[in-house]
Amino acid sequence: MANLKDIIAYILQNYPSNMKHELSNARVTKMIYLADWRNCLQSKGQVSDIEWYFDNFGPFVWDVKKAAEEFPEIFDVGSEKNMYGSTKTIFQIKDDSFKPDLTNSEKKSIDHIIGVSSKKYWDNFIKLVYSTHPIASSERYSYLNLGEKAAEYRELKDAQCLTPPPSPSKP
Amino acid sequence: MVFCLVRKSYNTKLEKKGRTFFADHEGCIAKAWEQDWHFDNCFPENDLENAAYHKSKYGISKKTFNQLTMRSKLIAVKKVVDKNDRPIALIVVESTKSNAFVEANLKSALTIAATDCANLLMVWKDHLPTPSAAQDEGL
Repeated sequence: MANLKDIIAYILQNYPSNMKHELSNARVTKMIYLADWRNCLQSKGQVSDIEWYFDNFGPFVWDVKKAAEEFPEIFDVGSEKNMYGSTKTIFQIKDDSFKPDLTNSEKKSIDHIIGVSSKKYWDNFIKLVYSTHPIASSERYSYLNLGEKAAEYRELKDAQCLTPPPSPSKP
Repeated sequence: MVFCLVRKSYNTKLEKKGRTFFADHEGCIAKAWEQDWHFDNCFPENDLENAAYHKSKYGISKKTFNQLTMRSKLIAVKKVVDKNDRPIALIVVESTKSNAFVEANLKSALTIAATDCANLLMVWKDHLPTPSAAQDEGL
């Protein structure tokens, strides 16, 4: 498992430069959830050591913001108004020479999530998060065991619930 | 693949999501998906006989049967279609008691509910979770 400061730094450094304004606490937190889920699907365990909680608005914890605030020499943590007029926390990398300590497999999972996430506006991004098996199959206000959920998901796939049935033959 | 969007019950234990994904080519779901309406009030009371019934009538394995949180004795399923008559969802009513509902009454109520449900789903479709989309993204 990687340290949160390394994961956050890697996301901030590798997110497309023209989209970096999107990197709010909410988006980065959910990206880490997706990277954890992606890595669990590949039987490699979570990338982070976050104990995920299914809150009002999907998987959410304060760990990411706290970790960014703990390292002011690496991160700038600021605030901005979102399109609805509420305040959102924005992360920026301060020390671009910082080298995140991550394994290749961890980097691969995060890269995958950066690729998927950076192509989506907020609504579609959130829809994707809500469509993942741990959220789709869990109750709100519960902790999510991503390792167990990945095993359950594989079983469902094996039972062919997650593959489309054969197309009906044409008359 | 059919995905359980919401599950409601006055009994909080039964309201918890059990299986959340269902193959649309087996079980009661497949029958309603093909025929518009499916009603079964003939589930045996005895668990062993009920498991055998699930296997023979619906192709549901004993392992899956044993994992069911709710062992229903009555199931009704109504297909929900969009304006072009394409199936978009199913409404499933289950009871742990046989004869809890009269088929004609339930069918009539669910036919009305299916129209309302279709309108709601069409309005909200862009915001509803789509597990197949997550699967397509490698998630």
